[in-house]
Amino acid sequence: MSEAIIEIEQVVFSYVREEGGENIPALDGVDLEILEGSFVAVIGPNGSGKSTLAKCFNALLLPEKGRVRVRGMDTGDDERVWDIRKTVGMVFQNPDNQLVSSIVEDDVAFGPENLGVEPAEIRERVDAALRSVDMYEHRKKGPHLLSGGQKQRIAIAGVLAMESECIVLDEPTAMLDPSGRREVMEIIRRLHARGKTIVLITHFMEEAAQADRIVVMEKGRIAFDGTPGELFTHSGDLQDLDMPFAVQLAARLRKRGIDVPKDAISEMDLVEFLCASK
Amino acid sequence: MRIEVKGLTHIYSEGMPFETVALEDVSFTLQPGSFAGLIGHTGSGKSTLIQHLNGLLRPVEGAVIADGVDIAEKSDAARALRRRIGLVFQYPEYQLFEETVLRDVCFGPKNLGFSQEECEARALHALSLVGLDGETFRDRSPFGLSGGEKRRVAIAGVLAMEPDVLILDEPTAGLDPAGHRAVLDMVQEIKRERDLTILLVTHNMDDVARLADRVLVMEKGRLVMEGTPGEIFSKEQELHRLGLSLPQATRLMKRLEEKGCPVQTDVLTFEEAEEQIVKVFG
Amino acid sequence: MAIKDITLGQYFPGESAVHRLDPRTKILGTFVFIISLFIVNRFAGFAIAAVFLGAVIAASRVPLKFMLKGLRPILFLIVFSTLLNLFVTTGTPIFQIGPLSVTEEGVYRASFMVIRLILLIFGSSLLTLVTKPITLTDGIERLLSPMNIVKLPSHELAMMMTIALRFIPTLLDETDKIMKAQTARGADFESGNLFRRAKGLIPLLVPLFVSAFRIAADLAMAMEARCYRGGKGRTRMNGMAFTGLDALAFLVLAVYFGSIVYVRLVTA
Repeated sequence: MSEAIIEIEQVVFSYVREEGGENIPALDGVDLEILEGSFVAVIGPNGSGKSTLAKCFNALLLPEKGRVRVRGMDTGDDERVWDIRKTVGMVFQNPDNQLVSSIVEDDVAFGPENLGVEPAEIRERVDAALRSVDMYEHRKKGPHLLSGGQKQRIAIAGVLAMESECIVLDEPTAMLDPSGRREVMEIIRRLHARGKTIVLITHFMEEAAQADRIVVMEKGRIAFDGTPGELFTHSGDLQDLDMPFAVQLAARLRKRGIDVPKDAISEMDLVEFLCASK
Repeated sequence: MRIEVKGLTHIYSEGMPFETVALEDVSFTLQPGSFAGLIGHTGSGKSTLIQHLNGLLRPVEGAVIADGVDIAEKSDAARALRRRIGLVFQYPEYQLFEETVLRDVCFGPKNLGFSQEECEARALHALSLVGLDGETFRDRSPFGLSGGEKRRVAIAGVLAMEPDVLILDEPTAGLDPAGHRAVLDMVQEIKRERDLTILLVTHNMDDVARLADRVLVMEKGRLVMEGTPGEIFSKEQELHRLGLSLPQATRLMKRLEEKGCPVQTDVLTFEEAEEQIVKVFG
Repeated sequence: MAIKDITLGQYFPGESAVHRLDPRTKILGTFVFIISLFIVNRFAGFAIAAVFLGAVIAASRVPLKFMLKGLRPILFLIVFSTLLNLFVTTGTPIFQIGPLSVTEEGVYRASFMVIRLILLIFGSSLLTLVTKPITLTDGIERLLSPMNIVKLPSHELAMMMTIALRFIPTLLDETDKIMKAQTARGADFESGNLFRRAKGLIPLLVPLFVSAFRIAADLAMAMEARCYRGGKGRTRMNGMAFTGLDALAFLVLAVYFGSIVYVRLVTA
């Protein structure tokens, strides 16, 4: 039975608005549990609260109401904040603005240095982390010479070097080109296979479809929580969600009299079904 | 406006140790009223190319000719033409600087020499083109707007100059799927209303297949492929070698064909895929 | 694209003995050298300084033309200072150019000043040529850390320098992008008098500042997420330790400084 790494109970959070108007809560009563070793995707349109939720995981934001616990530690507890942030690492959307040093390996070392790890061990962790993301050969380079996808991999290495159990990635591919996106998703899958807990915040359905579980956010609330398969066969009215191409096509074909089974959710599934039927 | 690019070559840091050939002998023509898509791997020279098209960069060799005039000339005619070629950069919202939305959108027309009333009229019209109500937004600070609104204001800033040609560099970068659709719908609407020539730089093949009547493919500073979407997307292997993918509909058809199903693969859009499949399997 | 490729602080890569010295040794050495130039009161002293500097430059294997590049920005200052000293100093005139006279003392002073200036520039630019900017900031941090006792925030200062170095290429890029975007809207950054050009910089400076603040906010959040909480309890992956090479360097410095002081004291 897997334990929960992150537990979110009835969390409410509002940003203070400067230009007048009432405070619309960014999170309006969210309950969520992230189990260890799982790969959860959180998807939703801009303004749905997904980024706000992500920042509650590692105490960057504290809930107005409700509670967030990481391995039992309350994020509101000042004394435990650093342990919480060590347990739950975060990679941000802008590849540039999260890298501190002008040398790759120094940047990856930043986290362990903050934790007061012994220098020799830091060196080992940094080398291992860079190898995990296939960036070891670039360790002496300056980040401004790297592509977006490479920079995000460095950011991920920085979290790995802290030996975090859980990695939260807040729209890590939003500013990348297609090959950068592929690079990052591959690393994420690899890390999940090695036992890391992954929470991926994204608005790309093709990425969310790779997770074990998808949580759909809508106006600060959870509108759906289940497997990708369950989501794609969901007949509800989830606003503005881009279903994957194959899912949409399958639905249209069913309406036109071709009985595509409901569990055909990928391009491969569709191709196999159609060819078998001929 | 008709734009002809002839033998365009550009070299960065010429003569220095890190000299780079960014563009090499690029030639093509943009017909007036057309919608062209410019695709290519990052680093293929797309950004450099579009900066030549409105005169921001001067070629080392070759020329960009608009309506018969070389826009790199130092003549009044050339300058007038350059001003009618609008360029919207990536993340254009990062260029907003004025105290109010109206003043920011007026910046372009002001630089063109129009009077205050004319600037405001153009600005308000441009705001309506991007779907923002002039009266609501005119006095708001651009920095207090949402990301999507900021982007629209920035685009309005270019539209207010009333260009004949609009070049957009990944206008949907960083937007969620809904925002993505909204921006492209807006571009189509604007093209229709003003009868513009559009050049869209993008990584999204589905958008190109759906919207463009012409596709330009770049690699390492050279124009390696040119044609209609149908022509370009029929060359899967070539595109794969260039690190580019197919529109999803086309890809699906190719996979079906590979497995021996008698489908036509010259499909570009979702609707066409649906029809093909119903025809063959229904 | 090209701007990013230019290495900062004109660091000239190499593996010479001078490159391999601890940055603290190099910083202190530069200080000692600069101070020595002001102790010198006759040309003989400069001769010793020049020989010493020449030896260090040779040991560093940095080509002379890079050193000469360092002089270019202050060429104007050299010429100005020379002319000033030549014509303003009173004393025994050598020749006249109209109302202005060039004196013996003037020639002496002008050459004295120029030589000192040139040695000063060469000495300090050598420091940045053989030490990477990031290593320099580390060295400064270590040197200043004893000052923590008098509440000097050496770690924070070093962190500020590190971050500044990291983001200079990014900000240069931003500047370029903003300038291009505004130029595409008809902005003119080149023509007009000083006042107009200053005003014309607003469409560049405002977005640049906004970008800088945005970068800062993002970075601060990322640093906190990686458990940054100031210098307390922080370790460093790259240790800094003095080696035999540094001991040798200090010895050479001591000999050099000693001879400069000697030459000064021996002045009749």
